[in-house]
Amino acid sequence: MRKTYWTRFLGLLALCLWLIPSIAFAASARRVVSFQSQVVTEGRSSFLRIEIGMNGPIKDYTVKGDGILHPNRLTVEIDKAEKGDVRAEIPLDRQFAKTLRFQESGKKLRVAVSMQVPASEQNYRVYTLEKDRHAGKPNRLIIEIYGEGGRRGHVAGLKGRTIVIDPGHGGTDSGAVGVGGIREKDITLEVSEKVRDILENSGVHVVMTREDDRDVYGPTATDYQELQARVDYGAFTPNVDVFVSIHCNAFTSSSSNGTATYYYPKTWLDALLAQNLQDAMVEHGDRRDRGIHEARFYVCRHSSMPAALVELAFITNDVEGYLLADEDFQNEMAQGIAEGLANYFAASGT
Amino acid sequence: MAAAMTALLLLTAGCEENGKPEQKSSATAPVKPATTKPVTPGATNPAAAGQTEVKLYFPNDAGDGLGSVKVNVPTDDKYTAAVKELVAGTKEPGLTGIFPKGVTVRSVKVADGLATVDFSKELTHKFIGGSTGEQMLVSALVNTLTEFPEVERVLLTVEGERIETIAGHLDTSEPFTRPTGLVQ
Repeated sequence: MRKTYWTRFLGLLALCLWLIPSIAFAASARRVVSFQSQVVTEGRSSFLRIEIGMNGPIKDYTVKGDGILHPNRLTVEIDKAEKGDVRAEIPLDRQFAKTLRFQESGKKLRVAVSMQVPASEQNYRVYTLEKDRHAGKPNRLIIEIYGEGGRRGHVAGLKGRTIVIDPGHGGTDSGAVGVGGIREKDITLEVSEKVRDILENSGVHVVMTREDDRDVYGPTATDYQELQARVDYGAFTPNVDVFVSIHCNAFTSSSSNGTATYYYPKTWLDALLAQNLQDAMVEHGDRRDRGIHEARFYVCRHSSMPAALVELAFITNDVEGYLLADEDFQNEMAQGIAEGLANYFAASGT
Repeated sequence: MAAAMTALLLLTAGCEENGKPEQKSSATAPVKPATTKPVTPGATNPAAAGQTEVKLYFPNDAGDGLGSVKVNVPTDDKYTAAVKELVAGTKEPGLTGIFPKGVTVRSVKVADGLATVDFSKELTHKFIGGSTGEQMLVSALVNTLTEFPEVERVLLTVEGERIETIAGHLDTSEPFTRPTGLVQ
């Protein structure tokens, strides 16, 4: 009998001892519990990834870069946080950044990274990750530092825009069918998704007319219903800046090749958009420049905002058909489209 | 490119007025518009009685311009015959046919400057070609028919109905003029 009482007492005592520090921690500031930095290589690009582990969710933090006095310094201020036991100054890889310093300032913890390139928006990325029990990782603040040329998949000058991306064809309409049986509708969706990812990374509100292999209106739609359904995405989304339809070209002669962009001149902005998209696609994709063409294309003509239809390359050409299915070429074209959009906004002053 | 094409269209149009049209002559290089190239001497037959010479436009292999070929067709059915020749394609080196396999010309009617060309459903169902293909098909057809002085505009229909588009690019619901409305 006595044994049972003792066991219960000990159990209760253990519970109290376990609870006391937890309660105390909840009331106090977050504290750094781990630090890790490593160079990560993804495809052809690499970057420095810094992981700062904290003993609880990281709620409020501010990011500052591009300062006048210290242009290469990236500062992240975490509210209600303390340094904990990590060193105040940590040397980094030197390829992407020299050092990281922790400094407590009032109730804030300031994390300052001295980068090798200016701490502008396209050269870093800061975000948080939740606690991961399976991986045994705490709540983390992640700082990614990029080198010359900035972050792949991020384009400056697009933040706050709303852009409709229309992957050509889909569903019952396979579009043109090219060498090796590749279908236009599949390529247009793959490239559109890559464009969407870059734009979303760059702070754009992206509206996709389709996100899988489907007819936008429905499988039994007339051509008018189908094309109008795509235009409607632009019409019924507030404050759309531009509409971009992504296609692959096709022709009866397989020797036909190159990149082209089509527009319908509702205002002067349509040609400006087309030209900027065309130039950046040719720069990235390095295919023959077929130029921009004024044409009475349904989706361009009936969109109320500036619109363009890009023809990435010819699916019916042996070389280009192969390229269109190639991940690297798709990435280049997607990057070109995103940069073309940024150049357009800069040139139009809108 | 648009400018080059416009120049080409204007140039080819101009050349016919200047030069005496010759049978079976062709122009294959639209960017360098060397328009009329007589075929082997002796092969030139003057248009027989009841025949009219027409100039057909076909896209070049690069899909960025048109070349022309001259043929004789029956005068009393010249519009339909010209379009049927276009649909049949060409063996001229450097030029290519653009109409889908199996498409038939149901009728070509000309009234008040408007040519209405009615095709079978294969025009849209069997069409192979993207933006360039559509643009080349329409420009070949419109350029060919507007060679007739009485034709100013061309409307495409399928099985008697207006169509919104051939394959999802060009808006074909209204008539096309030469060359505006398509390429300027």
